[in-house]
Amino acid sequence: MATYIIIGLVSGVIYGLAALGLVLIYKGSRIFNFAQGEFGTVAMYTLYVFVGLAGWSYLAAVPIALLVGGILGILTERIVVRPLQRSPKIIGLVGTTGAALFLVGMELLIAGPLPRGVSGAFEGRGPTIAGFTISKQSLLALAVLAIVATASALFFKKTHLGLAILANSQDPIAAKLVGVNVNRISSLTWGIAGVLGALTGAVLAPEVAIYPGFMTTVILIPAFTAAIFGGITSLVGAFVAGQLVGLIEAMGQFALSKSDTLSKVPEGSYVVIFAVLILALMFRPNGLFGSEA
Amino acid sequence: MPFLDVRSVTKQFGGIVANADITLTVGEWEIVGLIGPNGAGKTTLFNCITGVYPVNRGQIYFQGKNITKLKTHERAALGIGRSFQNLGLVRGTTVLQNLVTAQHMTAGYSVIEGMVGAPSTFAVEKELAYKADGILEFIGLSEFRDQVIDDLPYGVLKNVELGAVLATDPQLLLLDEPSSGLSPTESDQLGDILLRLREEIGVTILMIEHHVPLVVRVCDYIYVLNFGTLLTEGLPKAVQSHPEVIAAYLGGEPAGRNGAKAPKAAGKAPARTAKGKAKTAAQTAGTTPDYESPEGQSQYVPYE
Amino acid sequence: MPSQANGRGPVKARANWKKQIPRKLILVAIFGGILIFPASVSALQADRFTLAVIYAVIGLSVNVLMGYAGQISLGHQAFVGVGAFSAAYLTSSSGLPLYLSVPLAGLIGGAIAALLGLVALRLAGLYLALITLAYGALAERSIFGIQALTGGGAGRSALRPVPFTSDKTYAYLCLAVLAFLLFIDWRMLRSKFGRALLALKSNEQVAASFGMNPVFYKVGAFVMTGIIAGIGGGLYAFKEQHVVSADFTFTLALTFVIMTVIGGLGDRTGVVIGSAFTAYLPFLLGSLSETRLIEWLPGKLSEKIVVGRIAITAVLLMLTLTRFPGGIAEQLHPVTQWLSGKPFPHHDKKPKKNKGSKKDDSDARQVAASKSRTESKVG
Repeated sequence: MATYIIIGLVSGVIYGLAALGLVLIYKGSRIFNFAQGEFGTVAMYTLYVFVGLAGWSYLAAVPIALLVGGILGILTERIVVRPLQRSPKIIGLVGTTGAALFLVGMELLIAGPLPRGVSGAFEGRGPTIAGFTISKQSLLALAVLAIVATASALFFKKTHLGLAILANSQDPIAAKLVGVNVNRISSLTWGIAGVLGALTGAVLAPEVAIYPGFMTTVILIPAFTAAIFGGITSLVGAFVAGQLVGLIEAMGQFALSKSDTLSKVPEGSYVVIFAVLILALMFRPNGLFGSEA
Repeated sequence: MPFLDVRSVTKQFGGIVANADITLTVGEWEIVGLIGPNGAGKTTLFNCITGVYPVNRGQIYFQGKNITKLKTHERAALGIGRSFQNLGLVRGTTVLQNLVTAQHMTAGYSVIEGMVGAPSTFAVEKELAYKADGILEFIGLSEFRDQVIDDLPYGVLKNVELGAVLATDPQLLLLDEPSSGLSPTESDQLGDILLRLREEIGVTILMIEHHVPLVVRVCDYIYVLNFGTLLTEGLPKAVQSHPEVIAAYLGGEPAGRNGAKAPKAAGKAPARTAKGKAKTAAQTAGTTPDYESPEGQSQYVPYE
Repeated sequence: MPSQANGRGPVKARANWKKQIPRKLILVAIFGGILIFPASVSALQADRFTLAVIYAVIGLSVNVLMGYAGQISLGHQAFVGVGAFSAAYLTSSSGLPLYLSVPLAGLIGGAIAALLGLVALRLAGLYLALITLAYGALAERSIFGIQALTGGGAGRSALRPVPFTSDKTYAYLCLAVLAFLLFIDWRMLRSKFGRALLALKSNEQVAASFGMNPVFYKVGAFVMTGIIAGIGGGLYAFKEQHVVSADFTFTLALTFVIMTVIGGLGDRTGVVIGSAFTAYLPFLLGSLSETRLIEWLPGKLSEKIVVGRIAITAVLLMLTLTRFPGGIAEQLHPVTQWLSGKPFPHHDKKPKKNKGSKKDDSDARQVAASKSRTESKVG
């Protein structure tokens, strides 16, 4: 059982990181970005191209992947979100699904449908806790999460830019009136979210088999669950809830493994997450830390 | 027994008390006005009466039946019709289609029959269209019959909405600012229509209004709301000259704000009699008003 | 003559009968062409035609939910997949004939969709969209992974019974089903059910004041959408005669939504055209590849086609959302109006309220006319 807890915490790191981008975009544009996962998958494929095909080192390729993610975020904002900002939010959401679809197409173009692999910089095993060996890459992920967590907290509380982004999300007209360049802020917000998405993908890449649509299929829904559970507007909530979701998933896995019939349910852990999502939305849409539904 | 009986209704949103302990009655065939400055809680009260909001405290009775726990569509089925401030119509369809849509409750065929186009539905649909035409004629909107409502001016749409509400066969009409956006002439015509509705069809009306001449002309009795409480009630002329009512609208010293619960009667003890009762068949039958003659042609039935 | 549910201006009277002749002839040509098509082409073409028809069925399903009822469904492949696997299962394991297993697949799809409908009672907008996406993922990862139901990686077979083993006859069967569903859709929209859906989409409080029970119609819309999608899935199973869970990924759900939006939400004709076009797109791209056009792109041809189809669909979606909100339906509106007998609407784009002096005049005249009418009645 303790093993499962550790597993849950480790995957929670990824969910938290992924949820950050979602919360950021919701804070900035009041919309759910269904393309967020694919920012990560494209980053993974970028790594594949540079590391797997061109032979670069992982650490050298990661900045490129992050740059690609940032550019994708900015492009999505300009092409999809900005033209639709006066329409009902649901239309913007459908637009982001189009963007997600488009990115999946690009991934297919880059490397075809077969799964690919990327070797990371921190190969090998790290410490073993409670019977589970944490890979070094996971430790890297944890470190990244910690850094990003503190950085974003500081960013939004202390810097002009961070405050401008918050102002823009709460009241774009008022923000305009006090001189905030709304368009630039919007682009920047999405650019940062793109980088965050890419970071999540990059951190995960060495540990998984990469295929088109990977992040959306595997990570996006748990990330949304974490984002909503944490209160869709709370960055802190995203971290904490990410861990929670990871834990719940692992506990669910553990509980299912106890029963003969239930353990046969394919991806039972995902079913658990889905249940959490529905329950959270129906009974506590404000989540744990959020201030609005 | 009052037709509509609102007993000590309180509605709260978080910390804000929108309606505090409101007691209000409407007798059958009365036209009652509900006035008060903006934000007094009038539309909220309507929402409580129609079931859009569940009440925190209090009961609501309609024709003697306790409707406090019923949903909106169930109350509509009992005969409570309601108009909306932002026009309760279906966008993207024509005037006629709106009035046919509103007759949902009288469309006497099952969903399945509707889907397969069973012959029984054709007769019913024809009837619905006839009745809609009858209502349009009554209000004077027949020429807009096939126009999509999105294209029509606000004043026309206000009347279309009245038509839609009438199409639901209401016995109690809750009208939310029916004259807003209308010119004085149009307001006058509205008043005529309301009086005719009461005379010829036999509806009871409770209306939120700001337009004082209309209220004074048409209403048998008035309730005044202010800051969520009942400020006063009484006959129109008396209420009109009541100092606190004037203060409430003009922002003077509002006396009734500090939790006084009993509404102060204005002037004489209000002898509430409906000005003229409906004398058509509606009175004896008490149910479906007839907008058409038996031959199926649209004409309104004038009082003779 | 009532106008369509899309606010296109006053309904015009039909032109005189002489002008009707060319329109009728063209209509006959179009429908006749569609009818003869499967019989007169190769089996391969007929099979592709069947795919277009099945996509049209699915498009109708999405249209009921998104176009009429104003809900959203980003996990629609769940209903289609459930229908496909149910039909395959019922036929291959229980030996039910096609004409029973497909309708049953529809009912099962409807039941699954009803569950989502219950969720939709409490959620709306972005949150509902998220749940439907999660639901689709649930189907893709979990439900379709159940070995007993879907045969795991190997999939399930669904062999066609004797009269329909030929691709051509099967195409006609699917066409008949589509025609039937179009009929039901047509009647439904003109009945109180359709009016209730549209009213609820427009404003729930207003609809309730007309006596419509929101729960009944919201869940009802989901049930209808699930039934139609399930039927589409069943037809698909028998078309391929073999289904695997890999057929139903989330990209498929997105494609379904996008093809309906491109076609024009709320417009049956547009949706059919948009869906058929999306189904044919890979084949069109395949023939395009004969030319030099996409030779320079990396990857195998089949991959290029998939990429091309995805890219084009995504671009069309963006165009529809930003520039052409009515989709294909709105662009074809002059043509469809003309074909149904009305004069060619030259100047009728979406009429705006405060357009210009000409419109104001006619407004003023209308208001004046209505005033004089009521005056004469009451005075």
